[in-house]
Amino acid sequence: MSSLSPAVVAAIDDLELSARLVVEGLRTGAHRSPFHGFSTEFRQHRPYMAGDDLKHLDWKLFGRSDRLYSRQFRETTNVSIMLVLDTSASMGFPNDSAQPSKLRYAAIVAAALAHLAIAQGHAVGLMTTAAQSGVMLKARGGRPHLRSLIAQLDGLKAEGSWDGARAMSLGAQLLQRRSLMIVLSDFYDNEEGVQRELRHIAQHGHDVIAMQLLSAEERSLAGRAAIEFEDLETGERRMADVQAISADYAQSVAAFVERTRQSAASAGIDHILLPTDQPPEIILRDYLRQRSLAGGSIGPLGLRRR
Amino acid sequence: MSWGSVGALTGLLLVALPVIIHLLGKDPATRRTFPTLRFITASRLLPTRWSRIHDLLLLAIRCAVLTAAIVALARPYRSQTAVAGDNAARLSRVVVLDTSGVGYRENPSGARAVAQALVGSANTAVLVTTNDPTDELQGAASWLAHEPGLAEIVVVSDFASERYPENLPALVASSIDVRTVRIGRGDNASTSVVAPGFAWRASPLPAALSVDLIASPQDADFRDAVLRAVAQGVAVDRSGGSVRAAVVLSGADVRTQLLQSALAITSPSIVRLAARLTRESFALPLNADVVAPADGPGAQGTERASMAVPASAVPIARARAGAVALWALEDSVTAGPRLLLFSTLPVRSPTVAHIVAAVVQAIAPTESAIGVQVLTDSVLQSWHRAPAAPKSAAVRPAPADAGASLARLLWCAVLMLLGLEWFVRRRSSGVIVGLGGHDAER
Repeated sequence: MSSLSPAVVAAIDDLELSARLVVEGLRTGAHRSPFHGFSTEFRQHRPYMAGDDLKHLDWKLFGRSDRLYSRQFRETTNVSIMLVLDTSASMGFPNDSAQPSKLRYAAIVAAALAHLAIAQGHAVGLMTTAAQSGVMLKARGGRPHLRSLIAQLDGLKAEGSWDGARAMSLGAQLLQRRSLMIVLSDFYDNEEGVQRELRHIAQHGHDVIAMQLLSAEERSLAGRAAIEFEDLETGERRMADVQAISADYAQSVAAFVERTRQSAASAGIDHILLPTDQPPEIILRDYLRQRSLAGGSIGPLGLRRR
Repeated sequence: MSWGSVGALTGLLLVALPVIIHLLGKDPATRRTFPTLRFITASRLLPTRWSRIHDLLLLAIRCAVLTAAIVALARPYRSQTAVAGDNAARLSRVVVLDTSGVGYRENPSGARAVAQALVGSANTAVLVTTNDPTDELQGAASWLAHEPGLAEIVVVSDFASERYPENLPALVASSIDVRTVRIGRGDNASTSVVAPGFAWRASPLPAALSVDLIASPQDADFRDAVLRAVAQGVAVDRSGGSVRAAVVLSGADVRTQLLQSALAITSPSIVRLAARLTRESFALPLNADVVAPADGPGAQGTERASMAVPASAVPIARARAGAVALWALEDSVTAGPRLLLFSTLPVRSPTVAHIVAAVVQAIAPTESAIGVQVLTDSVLQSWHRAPAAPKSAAVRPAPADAGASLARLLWCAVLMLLGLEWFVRRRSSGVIVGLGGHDAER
């Protein structure tokens, strides 16, 4: 199955369908299922395959039969995942129909992750706080909850500003035990406060993944003309010659991304850059595989070992 | 190049429109919503941005689009007749000046002046000075074979019969015209062609006989008249001491003085000459050249008064409408008796050449009186060929639909330029450049 281009994903109105397509893309090429429960009940044996974790090898059976078998376990709901989405007006960029906005892209990624997690028995919650309204869904499992979560994601609108620190704090309060929090944002708002809250949540034992969404237009300014830029959130306007400032702009954005990455890394937080002009399933697949192989976590969506 | 609709070319004024808009227009910069302005630094704005190279490129393309479209609307074409006309109007000439004859030796500068005048009146001309004109004809013909348009060889000589074959044109190709200009003897002065006091003389005339053509030296048409007379086989020489007749044309500065000093014709030789002219010389096609007064029978008196012609003047020639074209008087100033012929004819008129030729014929003695045997005018006239069709091999004839093809090409160019304009405009990030706008400078 070929990867989905962002333009195709943007053209699909059905968020659940988009999420399923992305999930299919994640499964493509996987040698083994990346979704294992944390606390599992033995289910069956299967022949050992190269790359299987040796800790699941049944040595006793090897001693009796002289053949290698891996043990498989029944998955149970053992991880609570809180999806925190930035719904500020800046996430509505780009606002043309040729490519998905950052919010739509984030919603697709969140729906795909929720789909994956709930299919494996995890509990998934959702937290958005906007100026006027917000969505707060406690982490639960099951198909009905997944449909409800996807419906909430589908109805999100990019407007106003976003208090990221408060959203993450509220999301952490909904998690009763050590859990996984995935934050999808461009991290433009209140950079210091958001980074502080991220570190705070990580220090409280939660596993945190910071997914930073940036469009191609944000990473590098195109064109050579004089353009009056208008801030989507504040309405502030500023005249600039794109040709004159494009080099400095690209440098500043790269520095901002690097700063966010280093701040996250210092707190043991995974940082993923999600360019909205690239297929989401490829980025997620690479990241989940890397997370799984890193050995620090029990499964890609499992918690890191402390 | 011809145009199917010349009026459409006035639309070229529209080309100034984008230039004016480009220089004066100040459209606001494009507005673009953006997630955050934290990485965007403000830039200092300039009032215009006309100096941008890409803007100038766009402006040039737009001007080219307008120009090509308007020229296409004017439907340019190059017709076959235009091509043929270009060839027909082009004259290549080789002037062969015979320096071996008595005519040249007696007045070399006059002969050279005649040759130079012939050289100057052709589009492309070569002057060949030679002692053996017949030997040069082959080379001249081969050079003319490669020249487009009409081709002719003009031999300037006294045409002593012993040095020329009877059928000189047989030496050159039939597509080349052969003309002759006879130069006479007995001249000593050196002067340019355009000057008063020149004698028009048929070559067989002895030195004592000549005819003056008196006209204003400032009159440029005089030169044309001289050349026309030369073309008819009348040689131009500076008059010697003995003057027998002069034709005084309108516009001549000396006409009034001559009229005042003129007398009634009394000298026997002049009486005979005037009688001969009146009787047999002037079967002139005067209708086209003589402007007869509109007031009928009284015109004669009116005309005479306007020219201050004395009552003793003898009418020599009249137009068919009755107007007098030529009067005769006797000159009392010159050393010998001279017949003065006054005319109101314009210098440019072909009739002037007829008059001169007639006067020459009237006063010319018989050929037996001439010491040097020369080819007769009739022989020379027989050498003259009808103008051949201009050579057009060097020019590729235009196809019948050349005009439509050219217009189609121009429209294709317009489309390509529009595509280029779109590309350049798109490269400029979609902003309507070339219409001014704000510029920014860091």
